[in-house]
Amino acid sequence: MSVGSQALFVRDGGEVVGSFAPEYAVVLRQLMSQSGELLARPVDLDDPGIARLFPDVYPDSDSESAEFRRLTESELRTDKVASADTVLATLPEGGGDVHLDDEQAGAWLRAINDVRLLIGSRLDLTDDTDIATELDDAIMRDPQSRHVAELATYGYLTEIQESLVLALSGW
Amino acid sequence: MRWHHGPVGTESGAAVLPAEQTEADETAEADRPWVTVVWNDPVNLMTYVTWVFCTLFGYSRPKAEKLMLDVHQKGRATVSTGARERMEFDANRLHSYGLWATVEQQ
Repeated sequence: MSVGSQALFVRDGGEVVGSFAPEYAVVLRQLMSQSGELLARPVDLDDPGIARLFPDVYPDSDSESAEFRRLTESELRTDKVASADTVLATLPEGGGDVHLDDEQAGAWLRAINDVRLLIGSRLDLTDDTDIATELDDAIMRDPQSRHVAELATYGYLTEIQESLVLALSGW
Repeated sequence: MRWHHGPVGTESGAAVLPAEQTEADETAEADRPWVTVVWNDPVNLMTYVTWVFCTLFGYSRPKAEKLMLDVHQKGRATVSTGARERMEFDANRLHSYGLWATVEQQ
């Protein structure tokens, strides 16, 4: 999968509008289904991706962090699943145009960001990582590898998110 | 926890101070504001983080961008200040947007 301009959002009055080729809609819907299933389960902090989505609010106190998590985790998981569901409800299975009001666009941004965080936790990223370069190197080593698929997916989600936040904010 | 313990000298010295002084110290301790801190990470996009600060806190774009750059360049930034419960609320909202937020006392 290339990191091209496959799904750029633009603002159109009170909506942001994007267009998805069928094969990209399939990928994005699969990711949202998987993420929704993962987030519907009780939090497993041994999973680095999940630990990143539900961070300790008091880094110096495990007990205070656990108490905070006890009070907030269920609702936070529900919110995250609802955001993934918003993507599934607004992205046609066969691809095509997506029309989002500002609230739906916010849910898209949160849902896409959650998946980027989940995948990113497996990619050993730094602030200086260039995904395109990483992807080229990975393809040279083994074009069929899981690493190539993860990098390509991550790059694609990054492009959607950047495009959507710019369309939504008007920046 | 760090914010439950003053410097060692403070507790041992408290007994010899007049009662009013002790109360004043305790009030000062309790009055120290709580803060919500956002930490840098390699995944969150600069535009997205700026947008989250504008959306959640109603900050102007220049203020939100300044905070975002502090996170990016210094590794962390204080994004809100106030009562502990409110900071926990803010951290929870930031977690719902995927930002890495913690709460501490200044």
